[in-house]
Amino acid sequence: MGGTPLTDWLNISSLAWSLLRIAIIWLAFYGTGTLILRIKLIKKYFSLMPSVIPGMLFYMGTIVLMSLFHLLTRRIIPIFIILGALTGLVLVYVRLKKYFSGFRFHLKHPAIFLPILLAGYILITNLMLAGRPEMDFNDTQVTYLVQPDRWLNDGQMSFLDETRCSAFPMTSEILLLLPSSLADDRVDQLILGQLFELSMSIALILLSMVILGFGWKWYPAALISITGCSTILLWCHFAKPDATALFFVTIALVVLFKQITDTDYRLDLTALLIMGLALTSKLTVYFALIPFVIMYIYIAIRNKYNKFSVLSSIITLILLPLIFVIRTFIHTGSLFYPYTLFNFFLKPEWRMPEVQLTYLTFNDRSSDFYPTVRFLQNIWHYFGTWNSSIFLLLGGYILTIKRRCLKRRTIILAGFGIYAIISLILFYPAWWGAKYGILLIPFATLFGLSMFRHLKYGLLSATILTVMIYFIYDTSLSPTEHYGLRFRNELLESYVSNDWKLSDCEIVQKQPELKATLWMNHHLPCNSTILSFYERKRYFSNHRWITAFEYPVAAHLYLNNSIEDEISILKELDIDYIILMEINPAPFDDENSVELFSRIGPGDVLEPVANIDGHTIYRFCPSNL
Amino acid sequence: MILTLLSVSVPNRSCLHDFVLINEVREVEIISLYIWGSGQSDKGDNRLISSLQPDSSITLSLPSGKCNILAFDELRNSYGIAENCQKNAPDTITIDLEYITFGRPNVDYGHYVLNLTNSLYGFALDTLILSSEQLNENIVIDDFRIFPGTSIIIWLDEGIYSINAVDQIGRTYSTDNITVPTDNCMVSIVNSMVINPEPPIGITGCGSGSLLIENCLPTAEITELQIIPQNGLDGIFLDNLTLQSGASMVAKLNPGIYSITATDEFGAKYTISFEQQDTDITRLPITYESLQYDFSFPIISREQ
Repeated sequence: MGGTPLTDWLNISSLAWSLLRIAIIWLAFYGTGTLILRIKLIKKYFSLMPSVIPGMLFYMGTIVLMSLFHLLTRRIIPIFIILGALTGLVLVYVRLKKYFSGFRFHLKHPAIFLPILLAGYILITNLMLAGRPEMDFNDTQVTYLVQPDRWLNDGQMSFLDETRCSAFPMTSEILLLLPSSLADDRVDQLILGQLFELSMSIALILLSMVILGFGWKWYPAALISITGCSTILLWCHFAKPDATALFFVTIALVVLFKQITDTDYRLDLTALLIMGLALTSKLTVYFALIPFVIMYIYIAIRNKYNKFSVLSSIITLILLPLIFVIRTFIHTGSLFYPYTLFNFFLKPEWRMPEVQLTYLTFNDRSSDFYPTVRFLQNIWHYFGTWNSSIFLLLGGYILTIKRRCLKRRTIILAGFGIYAIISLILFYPAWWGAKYGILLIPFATLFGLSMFRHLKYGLLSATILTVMIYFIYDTSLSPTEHYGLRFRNELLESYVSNDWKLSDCEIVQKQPELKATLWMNHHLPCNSTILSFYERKRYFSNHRWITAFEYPVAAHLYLNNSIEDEISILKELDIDYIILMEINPAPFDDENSVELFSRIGPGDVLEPVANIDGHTIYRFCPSNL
Repeated sequence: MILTLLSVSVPNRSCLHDFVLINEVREVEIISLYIWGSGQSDKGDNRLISSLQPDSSITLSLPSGKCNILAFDELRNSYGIAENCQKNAPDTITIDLEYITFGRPNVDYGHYVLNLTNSLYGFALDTLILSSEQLNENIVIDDFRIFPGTSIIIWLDEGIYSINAVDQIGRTYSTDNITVPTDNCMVSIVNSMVINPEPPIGITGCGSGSLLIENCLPTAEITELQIIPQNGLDGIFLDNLTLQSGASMVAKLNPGIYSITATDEFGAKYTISFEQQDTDITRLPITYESLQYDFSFPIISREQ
C-alpha cells in the first residue's frame, strides 16, 4: 500500500525515523535546560523546574532571535537542535548510568507485567496513530501548523493576517517550528508535528511522576489512565496546541501540589512560570487558572507570603503572556485572538462585520442544527471523557476521607469541581465541548494516584481500577468516542504489514481541495493571493490564502453590497484568484448575497481558469466589469 | 405526472392559484421566465411581458402540482428551480443567487432542451457554433467555459442542428446532425470529432505495440517524459522534450505494464500506470487528473 507520497509513512522504519527526530528535539530541550538550571540564581527560585522546560524557553528565545536576523530557516534551526541534542545525549548517558548502577529490579508480583504490557501497547499504538497524517483536519491546516511552516519558508516570524489565530496565544506554534525544521516535506512536517504533540502528552506523565516521587511500579497505572484516555489521545495526536497546553497545565499544577505537600519549596516560582507558559498556549487554559489560583492561595496563606512574594509570583505568572499580549495588541488592538473578549480597542480592519451565515450557525453546536442534550446526559458525556482519572480522583478522595490533611485535598477537589461546572456551562453540549474542558484530566489521575499512594493496597487497587476501566471503556458502555482494542490491533497490524487494515477509516482522508491546491502551487504565480468561499485549509498552499467568512475584510462581501463594492473589497485584499466548489460556491445558501457569483464566465469579472477535482479556479479580472 | 402536464397545457381556470415570483437578484433585471410542467420537454414561452426589475414581483396563475422554473437575467445568468411544488393556495417564490445555476449553465435559444457534455480529455470548450437551415445566422455561444465532464444546457427550437465546438487551444470538433427535440436530449463532444487532427510529433522506442501519448494539459507543455516498465528492464527517458498542449507522440513499447511520468514546464509531475497491449494502439492522455501529489516546500524555502 505504501510507496506514494500520501501513504509511504505506513511502515515501522518511517515511524522510527520520525520518532528519532522527535527524540532529538527532547534531548535538545533536556541538554540546554540542564545547563541553564546550573546557573545558581535560576536554580534558587526554580528548584522544582524540570530540565526540559528551560530548554523549551531557550529554543523559543533562539527562534525569536533567529527571526530578527532572518535566519529562521530549515537549514539553520536544525544545527541548533543537533547541538543541543548532543549536549542532552551526554547528560542523559551520565544520568542513566548513575541511575542504573543503583537500580534493583524487585518483582514480588509477576502480574505487574500485565499493566506494563497494556501501557506499552497503548503507547505504541498511540504513536502509530500520530504517525498517520491527519490530512483532512481543519485546525492544524487552517492555522497551527501553517504558522511554523510559513515562518520557516520566509526565514522569519510574521503575523499571518489571513488567519486571525496568528495572534496570542502562540507558544505551541513556536515550539512546533522545531519538528517542522527537521521535516522533509509538508506531509512529513505534519507527521512530526503530530508526534511532537503526542510526545508532550507522554512527557507530562513522566515528568510529573518524577516531580511527585512515584516509584516505577506506579507508572503503568498513570500511563494507562492518561494515554489510554480516548479524548486525550484524540486531541493530543493533532499538530495543535492542546497537548502543549495539557503539558504545561499539568506540570504547573503538579509542581504546585508538590509545594503543598512539601514545605521545602515554599517560595519556589516554578509553577507560576510554567502556568505562564500554559497561558501562552491556548485560550481555554485560562479556565485552568481556577484550581491553580485556589491552590496558590492555599499555599500563600499557609506559608504567610508577604507582599513581595505575592508580587513576584504575579509578575512571574504574567511575564510571558504579557510579551505575546503586547505583540498582539500592537498589531490588532486586541489582547488575544482579535475576535474574542476585550475588543474595545480592536483596529477597524480586524473588526468582523455582523453577517448572518448559515455555515457559522452550523458550526455552533448549541444551534438548532443539533439535538438538545438533557442536563444529566450532558454531565454523562462530559465526565465520560475523563476515563479512569475521575474514578482515581473520587476514589482516592473517598478512601482517604478519614486521613489527615482532608482540608487541602478538599480544596484541590473543589478546584476540579468549579472547573468542571464552568466547562459544562460554557462548552455546551459536552459531546462536542468536552474537548475544551479536559485540561485537568492528567492532573486528576496524578492527584488521585497520590491519594491512593497512602493506602495499604493503594498501588494494587489503583492499577486494577485503571486496567478494569480501560477495558470497560472498550465496550459499548463508553459514553464517548474511543480508540478501542480492535482499532489499536488493526493499526498495529497495518504498520507491521505495510497494508492498511482499518475498516473504520481510510489510510489517508484527503481534503477535497488538495489536488487543486497543489495544482495552484505549480501553475499560479507564487505571489498570488487566493480567496476561498468555503475551503479553509491553507497548509499545503504556497500562496496567501484568505477564507471569505473568516477574514474580517473579506467578510464584508456577505453584506448587501453592489458589485462595485465587492470588487473594491477584493482589490483591497489583493485577490488574484478565487477558488470555488464547482456546483456550490459556498456552504448552504451563504453565497446568496455575493454579487460576484453572477459575474462568472470568460470575459467577465471571474474568468474560469481550470477545474481540478470538482474545484474551479477563477482569475479575478475587475477590468472586465 | 401526465395529469400535471395536461393541467399546465390546458389550464382549467377553477384549478389555478396565484403564484408570486419576486426578483431579489440585486441590481440585475430578469429578462425571461419559463414555467412548465415537470417531465414536459417544451419549456413554453417567456411569461414576462417586460423585464422584471430588482425587488419587484409578478403574479401568475398556475395550476397546483410540480413545475420547473427557469429564469434568465440580463447578464445571461440562469436561475433554475426543478420540480417546484405549487401549493393549492397562493404561493410565493423568490429568485435570488441561491438558484443561480453555477455548474450547469443554460442558454436560451428556444423551447427544447439539448444537454451538451464536454467529454474531452483535459480541454475545456470555449465556443459553440450551432448552425441549422431554419436559422438566419449561426448561434455562437462563447461566454461559458465548459470544463471536461461538465455540461451546458442549450434551449433550442425544433429543427436539425450541427454543432462546431472550439476547445481552449483552438481545435474545432464537429458533431453529426442533431434533431431537436430528441429522446435523450444529449450530445457529447468527444476527441474523435476533432477536425484536421495534428499528426504525432515523433516516435520513440522500438517495441511491437504503439502508445499514443497526448499532452492534454491546456496550459503547459510537457518537457520531460519517463516510461518505466514494471518488469525492471530499461525504460525510456526523454528530456529537452517540447510536447505542446494538444500535441501527441508515439512510443513503441513491448506488451507489459508501465508507469509513465511526465513533467510539465512548471515542474509539475503527472504519473499514470497502464498496460500496453501488443496489437492495438493505446491512447494515453496526460491530464490534470494524474497530477502527482507534491508536498515539497516552496523553492524559496528549500534554497535558504
